[in-house]
Amino acid sequence: MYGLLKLMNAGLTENDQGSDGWVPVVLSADLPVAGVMRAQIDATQPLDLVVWRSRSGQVSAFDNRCPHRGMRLSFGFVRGERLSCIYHGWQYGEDGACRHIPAHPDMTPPASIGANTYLCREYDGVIWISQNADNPPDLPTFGGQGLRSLSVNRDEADLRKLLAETCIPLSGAGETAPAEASIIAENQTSLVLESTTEAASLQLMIHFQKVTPGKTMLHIQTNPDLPVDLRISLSRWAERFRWSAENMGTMVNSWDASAGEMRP
Amino acid sequence: MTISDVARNDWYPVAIENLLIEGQPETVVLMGETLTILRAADDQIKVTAADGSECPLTLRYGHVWSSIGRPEHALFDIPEAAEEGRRMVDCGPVRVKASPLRVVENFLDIAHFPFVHTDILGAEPHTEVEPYKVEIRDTVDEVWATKVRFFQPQAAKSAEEGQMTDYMYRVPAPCVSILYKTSPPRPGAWDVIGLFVRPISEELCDAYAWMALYDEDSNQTDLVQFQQMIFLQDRSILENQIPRLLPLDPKMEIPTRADTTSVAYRRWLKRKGMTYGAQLVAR
Repeated sequence: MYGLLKLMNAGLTENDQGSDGWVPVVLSADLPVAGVMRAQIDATQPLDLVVWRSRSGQVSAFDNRCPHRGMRLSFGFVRGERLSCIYHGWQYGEDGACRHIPAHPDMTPPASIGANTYLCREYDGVIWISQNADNPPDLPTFGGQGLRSLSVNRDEADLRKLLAETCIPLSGAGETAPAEASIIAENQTSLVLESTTEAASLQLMIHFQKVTPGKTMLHIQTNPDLPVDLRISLSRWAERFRWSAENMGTMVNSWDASAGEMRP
Repeated sequence: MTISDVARNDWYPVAIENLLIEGQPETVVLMGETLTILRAADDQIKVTAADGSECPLTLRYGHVWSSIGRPEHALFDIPEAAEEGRRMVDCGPVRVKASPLRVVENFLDIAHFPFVHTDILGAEPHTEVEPYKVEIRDTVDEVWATKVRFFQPQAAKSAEEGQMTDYMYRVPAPCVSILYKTSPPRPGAWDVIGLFVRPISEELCDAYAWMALYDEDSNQTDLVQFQQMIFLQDRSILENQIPRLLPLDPKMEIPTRADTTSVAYRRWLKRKGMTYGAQLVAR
């Protein structure tokens, strides 16, 4: 844990905020082989991207727009190591170059035709995107397990504050009241939330994706090998956290022991 | 915004004639202006603008046509509409969150058939678009594409098996396209399908499909549903093209030979000054 703290806090000072950095867009487990998804990033120039995983497992990110007729590539489909546009079936390799135009099957597409690409890396169970960084995401290896991603209609700064006030469950099925949690490490992209009692200890690593102004995606990982009922409890906790953040602007932590759940 | 004269002074579909009930006015929006269409007690149809002034009116091809300007030309002619033995089918409007020009351009495109109308109007591996002929006919000021051929698994409701289908396309007005295709029950004849688009705004429109077919067997509902199924597949594309406006700057989107009709259509629009629903310079 000391190493984790040290790395995260080092990241806080060294990692420049802004377009140089890496942005988490999806948990690895949520983008299966041949999966295609849309990702939006609120940057100086807002980004609308397609993120896809090839048959061999390689992940790539392009502008979400086919250069042929402007169709969103996130509606496309993967064949082998290529992403196909749903409109006319134009195929793009992981480098963005157009490799095949079905209307002219015998023609080699000119090298000038290609989708605009972004750096895309899979790191420690999360897929990250950068416009221009050449270093890997500046994060410790947490070795966590993906819990879920959750879109919240609040700014990232508000969510970071509210996470410091939240209580998280340490057992499944509402057996015990959630315990106070504290942020033990934090940097520009992520934070680690920890809750420890005599009986148990739990860590959540939460990565932030600014989606659009006022909308943030949380990508949540837990320490590995938690029992399923605890994972379910944590998933419910995430929904309650969202509800509190969007509706109350403050954390609602009152525990209804008879119902075994949080009550507003 | 200022709407260019070429856009203002044209005819657009505002209603289906048969569906107008006496004494029950219908309101529609045409390029931002609200029009009221009424079949009066004397069976006369009138179109009025919001200020009460009467709008131009033409009743043809099952539709009520009107304008927010003063058309200096008659509505385009579809000679086939007068031919014996054809069935006229009004398919009704479909609302599309896209530029009316994107909707027309998609109607002129065959290369998308295997991917958007899979196993109906096209199927892999029959994806090749053979060279065809495109011209802007200056005498009539229309875009024409001829000698278009494509393999189709089910070319029409009446088709029983896959076939090579011949197509012709005609663009008689910026928001109208008419296609001619091999009639499955009558291989020597053309079925005619018209797409009449009413711009509500630059990025929103109602598209009316109209057919003049040689098909004595299919029932009306099936014919309408077949056409609507096809058009709803197109809509899922049209509402997800970026930008919503049709780019007229050749640098903005990359065509290939299969897009010759689309290239001619865009050039023709630009030449006419039809900028409503278009993007002239990449933003």
